[in-house]
Amino acid sequence: MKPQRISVVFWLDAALLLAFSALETVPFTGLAIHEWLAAGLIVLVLCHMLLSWTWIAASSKRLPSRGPARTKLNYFLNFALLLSVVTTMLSGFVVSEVVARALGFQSQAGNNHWRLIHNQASNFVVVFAAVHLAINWDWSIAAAKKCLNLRTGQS
Amino acid sequence: MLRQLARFLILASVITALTFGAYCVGEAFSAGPPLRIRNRPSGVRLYRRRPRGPQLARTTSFAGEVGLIVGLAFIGRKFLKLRL
Repeated sequence: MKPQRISVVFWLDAALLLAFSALETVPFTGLAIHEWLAAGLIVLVLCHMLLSWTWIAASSKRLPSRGPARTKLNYFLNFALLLSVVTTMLSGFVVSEVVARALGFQSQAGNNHWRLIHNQASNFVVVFAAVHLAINWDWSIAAAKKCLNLRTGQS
Repeated sequence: MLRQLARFLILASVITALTFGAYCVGEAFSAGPPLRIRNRPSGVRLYRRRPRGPQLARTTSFAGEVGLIVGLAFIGRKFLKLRL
């Protein structure tokens, strides 16, 4: 991977981590920022997926064939993360008070059923995001060292 | 192997307790005073949004959340490296 591309991917991933953490703590941002940040996150998630498209396409092609179990597990974990993110965003849009009204939709803010789905799916996002980071831990540390100019201690 | 497992469990407990603890404490104090409900003479109930608490509590919950995700990832990484 080219150094410039590593830098773009690293800062995008760091922004995603901070944005997801901010979204999990609604009192930190306030409801209006929470909802607009979530709407903006769609763009970041799409960029993240587009930058990883080579891996997604290759893994999808290899999925039916007999390949390493680790790759298949990684694929399904990433798919579960995407599913939980999409569920959280859709249910969040249904119960949203600011974005839905701004876009001319009727808000279902008082609907406890959708609120429960939103809260449970967001808990899954935390778990799957942590697993996603754990799987890509070595790459993340190496990229952080490069982008932040950190020395490893070994000359 | 048991010593390795014990060390891993202690590390995992400490990281989880610190990060999740910070998140929970931050969330508990960032909720602000309770919801106020006013009854109008017309019978319509007026709900007021619960105000936010102090900035420190809100920042603590955010930092706890970042720490929780990174901490869980670190624990997961350590677990994957354990050869049980």
